[in-house]
Amino acid sequence: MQRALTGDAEAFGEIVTRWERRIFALAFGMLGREEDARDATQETFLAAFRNLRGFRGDAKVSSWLHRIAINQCITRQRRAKVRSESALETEEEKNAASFAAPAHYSPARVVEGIERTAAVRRAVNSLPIDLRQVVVMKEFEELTFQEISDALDLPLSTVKSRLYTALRQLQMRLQKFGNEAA
Amino acid sequence: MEELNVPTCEQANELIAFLYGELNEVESRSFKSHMSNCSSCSEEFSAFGNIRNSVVAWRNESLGGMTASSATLSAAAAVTGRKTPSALAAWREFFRLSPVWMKGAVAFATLLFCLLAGLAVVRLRSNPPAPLANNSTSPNNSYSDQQLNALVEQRVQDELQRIKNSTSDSPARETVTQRSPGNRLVRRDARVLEMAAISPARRPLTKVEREQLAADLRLVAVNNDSELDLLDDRINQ
Repeated sequence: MQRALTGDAEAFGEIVTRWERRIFALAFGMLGREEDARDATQETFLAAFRNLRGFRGDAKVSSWLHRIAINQCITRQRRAKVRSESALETEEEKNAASFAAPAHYSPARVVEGIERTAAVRRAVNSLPIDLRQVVVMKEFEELTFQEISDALDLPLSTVKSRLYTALRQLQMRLQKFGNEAA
Repeated sequence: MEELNVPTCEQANELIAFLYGELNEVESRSFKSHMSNCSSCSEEFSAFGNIRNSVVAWRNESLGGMTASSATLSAAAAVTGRKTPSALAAWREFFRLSPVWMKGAVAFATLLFCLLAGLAVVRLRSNPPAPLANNSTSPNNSYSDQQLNALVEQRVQDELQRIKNSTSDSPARETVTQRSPGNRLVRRDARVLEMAAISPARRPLTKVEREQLAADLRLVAVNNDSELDLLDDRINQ
């Protein structure tokens, strides 16, 4: 990181290689689409490179990158909402239907799996941003509570309570989906 | 929606930590004993487990076959601009990111280098380097006119000195040969003495000598050609 701070692009490339997978997973969980996640990942690292001087030496690289990535995702979602919410939803449905399912699944189970996945996606995407980011960091990046706490600069108890609330909201939304499906 | 933010049990945080396996052994045992008596925690543990499975299934379906390399390459390329940035772009980036003192140092070093290079060019033009005249091993030496003249002059002097030495050595040889035994040597050295005596002031040839020379050169007819000792005949024999 010290080399990257002096403007060494190669050193920054190493940072990208090390963290891009996590950042991509975070962006995908936050945005729900591969294309958007890839763009957000790019924008995250570009923003990080441009703002290298804004990096505090005492902070962790992961925390710094996570904050940038989450800001990028939020900005991107706001722009998408402004453009067309319904278009995004249609695209999500299309992507959900294109998921490959194992061949040994029966057609009924494949359809059920696709619908379930689409429902989970919609449910996660409809969570408030502060809850969604905790879910994504936990489930997509598989960070510990302490790591999430460090990345978001939040108390450990707040992280846990946010995740609890997020899971309760998801439970309610998926119950609604189950009732609708039935 | 507000009621969703209120936990149904005061041990909600322990429930979450237990769900994700982040309680130590003692805490896990304690929470398990609590859950056996708390129906809401037990129900939520089961429901949250199902939700987790659904989210993980979504994640695996979405990211399972997806390699991160595409995102990596594009992100790295986006950061560096291109895979192999041009020298100009690299310099531009370097100057953009460098501190002021480094920019100043680089500018000063560049200026100094240009100044020294200019001085070197000017000096070379005004005073071209002398050729390596002492390198006698090289056959392709080129000499200036002055050097050539000096060398020729030296060579002439050496030659004159050598001739002078050879002429000054002659009396010594004469004395040696006079003392040496054998008719042949005495005869040869007598001719040498004769020549040496003649050489300072060349005497004109006598009539006999002139005739002999003319005959030798075939400038006069010889009475009987067969008497001539022809060189060709000796060769042919």
